[in-house]
Amino acid sequence: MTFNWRRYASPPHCYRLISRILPALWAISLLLGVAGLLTGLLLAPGDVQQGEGYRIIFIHVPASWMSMIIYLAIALWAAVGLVLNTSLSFMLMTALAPTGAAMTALSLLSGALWGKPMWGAWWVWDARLTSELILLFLYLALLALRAAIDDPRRADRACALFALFSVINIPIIYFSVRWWNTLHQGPSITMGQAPAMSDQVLLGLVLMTLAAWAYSLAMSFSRLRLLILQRQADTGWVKQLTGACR
Amino acid sequence: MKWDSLSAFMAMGGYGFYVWSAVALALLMVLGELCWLRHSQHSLHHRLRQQPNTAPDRGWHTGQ
Repeated sequence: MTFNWRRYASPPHCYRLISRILPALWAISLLLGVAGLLTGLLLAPGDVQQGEGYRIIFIHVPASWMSMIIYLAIALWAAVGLVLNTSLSFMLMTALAPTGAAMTALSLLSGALWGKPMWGAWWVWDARLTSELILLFLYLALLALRAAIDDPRRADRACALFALFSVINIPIIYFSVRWWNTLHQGPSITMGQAPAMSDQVLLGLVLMTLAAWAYSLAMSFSRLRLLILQRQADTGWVKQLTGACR
Repeated sequence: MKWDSLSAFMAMGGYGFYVWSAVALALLMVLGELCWLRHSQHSLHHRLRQQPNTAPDRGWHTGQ
């Protein structure tokens, strides 16, 4: 017996699959979020230079990472949708955007809350901060573009092209602290190097990052279910499903 | 456990306002998204029950 993964490109199959895994994803995100916050706020030691104010990183760093990862995922699904012409890819792209925008806003706001006590300013026109602000505008532009076009297929293609062109901002955000002389600190964790932080801080960061991943997946999949129902409203299986729910 | 008392934990060494505001913002974001999702879900299910032959519409505005 072989596993036919292509059948999950079909909206009804995908709907059933994500309906099965969603409760587990929500539970995992809640458990990891609570464990991460407890580790970061209760157990992790204070920082020698930044005192207790550094604890904002347990919110700020996972939100910043997710803001970039979600935009990369949007661009990936946009490319898959344009190449294979699969409606589910465009729906995934659509479902990810609001959570990406929320993560970007959270990254900027928590960054401002860290900047005021550490730098003495809520905002500076630093390369990292400015490119992250541009990312928020890109998310908002993507949402606005989607809402502005009535025909879903045309909206899908327009948003996919926009996402593919604008994804260039992600490497700019990531490498901004290396390419320019910025006030923002360098990467917190880099590949191939031991992290310069205590085990409890690292554990808190890892837990919060995994929680952010699980939350983003759970929220996007929940939104995807609605999009599938909406787009397939005229099909028999949706009528059967909604009839069964009465 | 790092903290000696609840008041020390809340004060966060003088950074309480900034740290707790960041936590509150994160919780607000989660609650906001959940409320929006719930609202969209109710609207869509209501519409699908009322008008089974409704035409599919655009992206995120499931509440329309």
